[in-house]
Amino acid sequence: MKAELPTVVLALVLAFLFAGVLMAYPLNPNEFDATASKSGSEITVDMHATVQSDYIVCAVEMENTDREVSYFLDDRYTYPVDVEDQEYEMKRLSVQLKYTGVSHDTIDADGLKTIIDDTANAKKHAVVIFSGALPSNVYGYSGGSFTDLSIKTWMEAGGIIYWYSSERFGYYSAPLSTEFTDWETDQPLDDGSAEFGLTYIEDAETGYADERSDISKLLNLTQNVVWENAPLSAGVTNLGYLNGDGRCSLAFKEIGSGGAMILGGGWTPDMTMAKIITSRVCEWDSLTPDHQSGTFKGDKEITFTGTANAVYVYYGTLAPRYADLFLLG
Amino acid sequence: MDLSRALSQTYESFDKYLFRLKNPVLIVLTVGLILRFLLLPMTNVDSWGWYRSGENIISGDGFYARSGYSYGPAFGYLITFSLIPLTYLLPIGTFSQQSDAMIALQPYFDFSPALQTIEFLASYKIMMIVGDILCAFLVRWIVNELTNDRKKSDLAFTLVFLSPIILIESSIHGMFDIYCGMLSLLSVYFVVKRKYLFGGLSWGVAVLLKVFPAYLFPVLVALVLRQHKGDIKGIVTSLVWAVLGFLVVFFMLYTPQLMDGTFMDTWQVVFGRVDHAGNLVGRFGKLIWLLIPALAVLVALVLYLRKHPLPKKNIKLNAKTSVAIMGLIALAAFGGLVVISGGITNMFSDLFHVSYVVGVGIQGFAMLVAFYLGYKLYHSTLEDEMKLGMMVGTLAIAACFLWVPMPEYLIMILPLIVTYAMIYDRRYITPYLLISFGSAFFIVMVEGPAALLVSIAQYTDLISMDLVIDLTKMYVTGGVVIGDYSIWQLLFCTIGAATQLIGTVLLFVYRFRPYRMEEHRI
Repeated sequence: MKAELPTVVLALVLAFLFAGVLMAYPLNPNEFDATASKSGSEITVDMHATVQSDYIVCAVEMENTDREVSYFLDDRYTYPVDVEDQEYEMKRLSVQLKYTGVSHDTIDADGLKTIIDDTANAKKHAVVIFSGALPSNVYGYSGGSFTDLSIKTWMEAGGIIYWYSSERFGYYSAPLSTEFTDWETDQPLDDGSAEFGLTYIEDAETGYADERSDISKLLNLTQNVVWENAPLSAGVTNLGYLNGDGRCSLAFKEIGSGGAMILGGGWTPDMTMAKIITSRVCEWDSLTPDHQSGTFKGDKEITFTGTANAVYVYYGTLAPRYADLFLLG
Repeated sequence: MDLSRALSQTYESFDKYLFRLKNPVLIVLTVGLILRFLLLPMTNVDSWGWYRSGENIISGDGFYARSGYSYGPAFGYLITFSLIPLTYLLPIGTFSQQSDAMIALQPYFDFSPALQTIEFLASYKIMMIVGDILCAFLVRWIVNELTNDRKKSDLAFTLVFLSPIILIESSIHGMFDIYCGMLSLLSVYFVVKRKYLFGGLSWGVAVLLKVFPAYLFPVLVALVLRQHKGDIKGIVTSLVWAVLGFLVVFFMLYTPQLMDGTFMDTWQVVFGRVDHAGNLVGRFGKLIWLLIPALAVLVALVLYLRKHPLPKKNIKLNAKTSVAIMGLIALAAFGGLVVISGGITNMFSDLFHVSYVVGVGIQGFAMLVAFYLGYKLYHSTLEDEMKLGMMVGTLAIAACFLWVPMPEYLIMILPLIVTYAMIYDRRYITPYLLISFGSAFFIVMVEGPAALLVSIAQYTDLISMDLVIDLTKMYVTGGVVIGDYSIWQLLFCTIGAATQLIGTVLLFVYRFRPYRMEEHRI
């Protein structure tokens, strides 16, 4: 029996789709992987990718400790950012971090205090803040002066804050049970940013920074939006782009042996924050590390010689196909 | 000169030129393919989303492992079919790179510094071109099958394959609407031919690609009921086969997401737009109470007119008065939107959002129209089911586009229109052409023609990046800026949108007196 063209067309479309199902899911042939080892002063990185991929491998020196990542969320406090919005952003970052192999947990204000009070292990923790304000049990203010700056003490001891939202250190969060009128009246910290060495321009407008830092090029950090109160470059390390008026799109403020990594603009879909957290670039001793880059397909081995004790391996351009940091002891 | 006669003569002269060619299909196919391959390196702002979809596809972690892919999975499978083999076999690896030169355009419209490479754009769009080819041959075959007229079928092929919007959507935009259009046509064809399993399969894929073919549902069910009037067993058996077809397709497409827990993510695009529209409606929530007195006045008016009918009087309007009345209605609608939006600037800033609201809002109306059309089809005295199915099916889907839909959506009705036009009523070529050209002009002028060249400028030496950026910037910021758009964007997009809307309205106009042909009366 001869099949009519409509039947053939339908069969073809179904065949395309079924083949697509198989190729995209159970029979997807793509693999991206890497291993790294150190022998004496030589580091060897073995890379594998089934699709031709751009790669960048950085050999870096840094503190040789694992660092746990925690999200802070506690709906018992008031925040400039709605709890629903915080949860939404958390979900997005979680998906990205899962992709780059970084796990995390979520802590409330009590959990945060436990971490902050443990200054001896500060170098083993990083906390991501989505709320726009820290809870008053670790960051308090009253009568024109600070009553609690334990968060700063913790950073000085090696703790890292990833500030994912607006209002950097500008407010503290009181419990919901506290009488609350508005942020300007009840919980402002006029000198909050200054306390951490951050400066910004009053009433600046959102802009698109265009002067790119070298580390941004190296790590494919493409977030270049600067909000009104994005940190000025004075006293911070710019990991992203610099605006004409001195605002940074990604600023790391070193505080003691730790510090605060601050997103100068909004979330971008290029996974910038996930790349920063995965690479732990804020902890690198130098932002001009020994590195090798290029394009490869199949297997490739590269070596470094020197004093580096970690390698960051990244395949892809804007979105990572593979990213991992290897601590090599 | 009478406009319809002028159009008819134009089409006839086009026929003459076309059929002077020895093998028109081969020539049209060649020309169409050359045009498509020339357009492949062009891009638009949506390509940034396609890039992220492409990365998700090759990742092996599923389409929804990270943000970036928001459509249902069927679209992803189509792209997978070309992208994975090509990236596996060829050295195509870099999909996108940051272009710092593009930062100059970043404040405007949705421009992004991330520019897609030409090899990625080509690998990504191949399946859309395959869809164009399949659709053109399908339409040609059906027209030939039902008319046995090779000239008509070749003309149908030409109209599909060289339609500007079909060309642009596959080769520049990289959208898959041609598959929805082709499968909508197939579902009507198969149900009329009483191949219900195939009908269910076709409609299933169409509706799971994009939601709009859902409006065919009442029409297809009405066809089945009509074919088996009074035969319950026949009705049940036919519907079971159709449902079986739909279920087969559903489980084929969604099993991976049902297994990996991302099933709810597959509906992002639908829920996202409804939610978006809901948020905007919420802004005007305080005005909703006005609907109550408005409804009361309307009901009172209807009741009054039923008791006191107006005297019968023939109203004859001349062309000038008709245009003036239409102009006043348009002005009133415009004024209403401005008042609701809180000013002209807000209105234009919210243009796309307003479009979402009305677009989502009109879906309820469209579904009512679709059921009404299904009812009419069931009771129609016309015997030709293919004619009924195509005519009513076209109108059922077109009803939800009686606003300013995204231009690509209209591709869904083009295969049905052209097939109907070539077999039954040649006047439908006019709306076909209005939609084809109007929507193509609309989509190109949203960001301006120069913006389509950014990837070519970035990755080749054919044109300077500075020139492309200057031209684009001139277009999106030139003249007066109202809301988020330049006067040029508003002007040209309005022309395109009005043309496509006139084309869509014309589909309905031909169904009413005095334009209706009695042999086409439902």
